[in-house]
Amino acid sequence: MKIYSVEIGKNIRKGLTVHLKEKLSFFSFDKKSSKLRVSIFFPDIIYSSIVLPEIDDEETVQILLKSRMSALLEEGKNYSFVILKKERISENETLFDVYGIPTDKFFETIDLVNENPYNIELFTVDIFSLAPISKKICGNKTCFHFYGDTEKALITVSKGDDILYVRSIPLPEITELKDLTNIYYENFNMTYVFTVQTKRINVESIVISGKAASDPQLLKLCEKLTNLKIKIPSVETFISGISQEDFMEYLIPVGTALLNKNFDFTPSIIKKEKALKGISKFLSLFSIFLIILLSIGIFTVYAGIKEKENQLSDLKKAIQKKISFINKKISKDELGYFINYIKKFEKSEDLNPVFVFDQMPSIFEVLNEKMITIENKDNRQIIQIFSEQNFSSLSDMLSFKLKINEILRRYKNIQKNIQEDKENLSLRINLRIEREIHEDR
Amino acid sequence: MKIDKYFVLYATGLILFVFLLSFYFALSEVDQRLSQKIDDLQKKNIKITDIERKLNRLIDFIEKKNIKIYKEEESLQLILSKADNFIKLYDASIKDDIKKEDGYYSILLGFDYYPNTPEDLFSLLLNLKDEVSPIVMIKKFRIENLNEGTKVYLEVQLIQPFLKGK
Repeated sequence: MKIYSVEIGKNIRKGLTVHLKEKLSFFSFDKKSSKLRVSIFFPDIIYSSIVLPEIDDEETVQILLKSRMSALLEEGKNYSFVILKKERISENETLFDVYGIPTDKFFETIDLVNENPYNIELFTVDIFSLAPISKKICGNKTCFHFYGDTEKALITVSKGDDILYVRSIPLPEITELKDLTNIYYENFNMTYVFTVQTKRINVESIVISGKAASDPQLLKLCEKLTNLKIKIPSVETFISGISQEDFMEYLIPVGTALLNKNFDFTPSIIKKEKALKGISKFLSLFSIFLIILLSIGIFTVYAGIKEKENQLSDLKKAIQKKISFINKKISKDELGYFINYIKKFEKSEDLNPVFVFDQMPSIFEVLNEKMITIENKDNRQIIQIFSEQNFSSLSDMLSFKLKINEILRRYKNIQKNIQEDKENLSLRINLRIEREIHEDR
Repeated sequence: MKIDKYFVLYATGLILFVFLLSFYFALSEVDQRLSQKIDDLQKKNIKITDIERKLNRLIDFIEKKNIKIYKEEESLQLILSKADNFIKLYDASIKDDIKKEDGYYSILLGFDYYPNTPEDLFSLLLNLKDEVSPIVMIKKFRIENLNEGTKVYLEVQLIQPFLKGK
């Protein structure tokens, strides 16, 4: 992601576009991104250490801050605050370092850079921009960072991410380097002594940056005063693609690019609007995504409809073709005629005695029929068989009787009447089968 | 108050989305109806194919059996001619007079038959079975195995359909 980080001083306004990665990479000294990080020079920053209860609602926090800091704030003016948590002092209360600047500064800056307020990603003061530089050089040691250029001297005492003390000094307009050394040293000396002796901060590392870092006399004096080795930020540690000189020149925009968003002074109303804008942007993109999805869905359904219409038309044609083929082959009356004809013909086949003999072959094979009658009436067929069998022995007769009974068991609806004449060794068998004739096959 | 362009885009998108969604549902409804129509037509097509298959079988059968379309007069001529044949060949008597029913003529004849061999009887029965114009429907059949030989009595109904209105 690219951002344009810009520093706005009294007269100085310089910025650079960088790629935001773990280590920054230089892109251009011109504005090449719509996203901006801005740090301003504002020596009149308001500071207070305040105990606040645990409240999540930001508006309530703002009201509480205004009331607690009322002595420091100008009446009728709105302020933006950066609230940095220091330590928890009780179960419900925490000590905060609160820094405030008038919200007017934000809008003045917006006008100055002629930017849309929603494009401002971070709006801060230059003294905070030194903190990420200090952290990278000093790690978790207490770091006294002095920055100097032609219009200001900035001092930030920090430990890791915690800001311990800040000071911002505007310099009178001078041209002589010798005078600049004196002013730098005077401010360094005064602030260092104040920090160590009055604020009782145990300074462990000294960093000097900006134009001040190229002043050997100043470095010597400072080293002598502090008895600590002076560290100068090195370009390789922070950003690729620019020279050490450019890095010193653009140290504040680089620091702003690396700065945590906790140090943002953007007015809460702009933050809210930005959040709403973000939601609107998300929703609008989401609705576009849905519209695209829906359009694809509509297109798919439409294509499906077109395909089905073709399928339907093909089916209609095929059916129509078959119907006309059937109609050509035979008319409805002819069809009825042939069906009735065939039904009658099939019935005649069913009623034919040959068919009856075929159906009961075992009976006709065994019996010595005297008389068979087949009568077809009202869809019922009555078959009557009369047989007379003579035998040479009783055992033959009985075995025949068993056999005929066995055969008859296979047929349904059969009435049998078997009369035995044991004296003459003869059997008189009367069979009657009654069954329905089915019209349709 | 200036309205955020993304909000305008969102609102427009939402309206467009609702419109497209309604359009999508309407199209889906059409799609569903078309699917239903296709299903119905496919069922109809299967039914017609089945009818076509049955019709072909019917036509094959008609051709095989040489069943023809007869007009009413032709049908009457055929049945009378066949009845004459029965009377001449088997000395048949008319048991029920000629009748015109719904789409066919019928006449009931009765006669005795004395086959020399069982094969003669089977041959007669098979011939009667294969008669198509007119159809010979055996209504009554009696076979008596007597000492002097086999006596068969047959009552046959001759049926000759005709195409009404021809």
